[in-house]
Amino acid sequence: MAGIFVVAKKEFLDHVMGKKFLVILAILMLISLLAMHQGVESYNKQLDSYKERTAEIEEHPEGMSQGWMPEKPSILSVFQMMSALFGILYAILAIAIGFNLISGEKESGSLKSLLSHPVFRDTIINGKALGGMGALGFAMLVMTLLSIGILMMLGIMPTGDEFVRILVFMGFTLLFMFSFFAIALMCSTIAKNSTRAITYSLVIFVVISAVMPIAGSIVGMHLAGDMPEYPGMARQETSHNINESEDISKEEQIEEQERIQEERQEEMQEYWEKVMRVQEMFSIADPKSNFEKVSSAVLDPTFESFRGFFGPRTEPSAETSILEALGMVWKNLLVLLVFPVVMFAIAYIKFMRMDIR
Amino acid sequence: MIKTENLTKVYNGNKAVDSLDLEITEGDIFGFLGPNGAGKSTTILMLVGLIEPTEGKCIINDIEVVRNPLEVKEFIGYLPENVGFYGNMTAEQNLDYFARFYPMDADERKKRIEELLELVQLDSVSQKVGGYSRGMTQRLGFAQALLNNPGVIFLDEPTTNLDPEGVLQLRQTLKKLSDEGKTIFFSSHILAEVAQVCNTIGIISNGTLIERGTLNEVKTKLDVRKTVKIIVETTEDMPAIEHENIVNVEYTGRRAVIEAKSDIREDISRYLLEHNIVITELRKEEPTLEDVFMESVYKGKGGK
Repeated sequence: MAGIFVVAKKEFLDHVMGKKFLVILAILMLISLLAMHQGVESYNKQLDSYKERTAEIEEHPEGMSQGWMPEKPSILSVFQMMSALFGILYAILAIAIGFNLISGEKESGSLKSLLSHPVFRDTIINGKALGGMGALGFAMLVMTLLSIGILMMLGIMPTGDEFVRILVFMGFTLLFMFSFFAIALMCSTIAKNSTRAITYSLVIFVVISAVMPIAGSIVGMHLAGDMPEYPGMARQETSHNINESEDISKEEQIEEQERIQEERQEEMQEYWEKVMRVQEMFSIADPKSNFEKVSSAVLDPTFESFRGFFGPRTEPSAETSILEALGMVWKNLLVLLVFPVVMFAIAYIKFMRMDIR
Repeated sequence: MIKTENLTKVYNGNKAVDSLDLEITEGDIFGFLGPNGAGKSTTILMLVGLIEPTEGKCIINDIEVVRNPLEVKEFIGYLPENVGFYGNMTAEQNLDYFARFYPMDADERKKRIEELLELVQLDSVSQKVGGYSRGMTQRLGFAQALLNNPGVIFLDEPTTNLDPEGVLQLRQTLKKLSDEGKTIFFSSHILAEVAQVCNTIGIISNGTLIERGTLNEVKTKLDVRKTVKIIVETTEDMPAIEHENIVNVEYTGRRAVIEAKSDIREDISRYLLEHNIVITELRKEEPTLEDVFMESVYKGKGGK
């Protein structure tokens, strides 16, 4: 067991003191600063607008339309924006850390030297994985402290719930990075050299994060059949029919119009649900889409697993607890957890059976 | 001390090492000789537990390598061919990293590393290993092979990249280690190197052990020549020598190179004396180990 920590410590220090890691972390921090600045500005504007609207409602409750109710903005929206922005960068950082862990040592000959000493192979691969994950954890810690620090510097203090959600979100971001780190480690173990390892890693990244979701959309739309007509178009048609039948009362005409519109909305909803189900099947192994789903659940206090595309929102959604929200995305969460484990298992088995020549 | 039984390794249907039976006694410096691709490195890799044999077994100090790899590794030292290190670390840091896998405390590690770096003359080098020349890396490789004060040392092409001074130092160190009772397995494709340091040798070709024994034993066993070469030099021009066992003679003035079925030096001497010719040199030319090695491995008895 002590051997694992010897390897992990060396690996961790190699990573966090390496140029590659520091450059990517610096880029992440720079973008983070800009994103936080923009996000906070937008948050402040939304907050001002919210305050104005709530003041208006309090003063003239009878004058407000029923179709619009203001929602209090949350600072979590800044992190939600960041998760979309940083997904690819985090994946690149994780791949950069993992792609030459084994292949690099094979190329330099240091793996042969290392394995000639009394150390089990699993100690090496476990230590390397631990060291790499530690380095990613360090990057995440830096980013978390930076984000919270900036918020505090700008005078924004997250509430207890928001603070918990930020920390949980950072935890899932780390899990997301582990997925790509595990892909890179697996490629590093399988490939003959580091060039091939990074090529394989990037190919897998592109296939699961871009090719599969696009293919999912195409197949989903094909399987769902023809897209229903847009309700707006139906309204025109309905109005025309209504003019023709003069014997129908005006009230009935409105009811009929609403009924047809509702039917069309349901059809449209059903159509998109079908498309999304196929899309989800295709992107089930994509850590990026799973991460986006899970982070939405964590960062959106009013998260709903499937929000309707059509129809007005007449009232603010009810608050969802973090556990309830995670329960809604349990499949994505499970895949996000299992994915790195599977990748690591492949790397482990391959490394244990490898002939070191 | 080192033993292999029916050791075989198959890669993609080809036998890299074929039914190798070896036994090397304690304190021996064993030279494992063979051309490139003969199976030397594969044999060593199996002996040090880096690759698993397809068949057979390796036993070191009565411990079977496959069953107890860690126990064996604690007892052996290994200098791989084209040894590699972590380029971002100094020699001391590299050795300290490896040393942490042995039951040594910080003081022991520090002391041992200082001794070894002094031995390989890298004690005054502070640069990172990434900036080392190949020769320096090789010397560091030798130091890491001795890190745990091993009982058995495997050296795979150890003189590669070393300058003549480095080679000389390596030979001296090996002799010293052998005197201390350590067993050394020295693999090389250069006969002259092996002949300089080894007590016994084994010749491998195409994965098969052709011969083994002391240098002279191997030379005798592998010498497949049917004739004897005799060199004669006289004070006057050489007369034509006649003998029933002579196969061929080449005359060049006062010198003759005779190829005969047997050693006929006595007859030649008598013949020349009868003709009142003074002999300045009369000797049988022995084949060198190099000749035998070249003929047996590259031209003749080349395994499969």
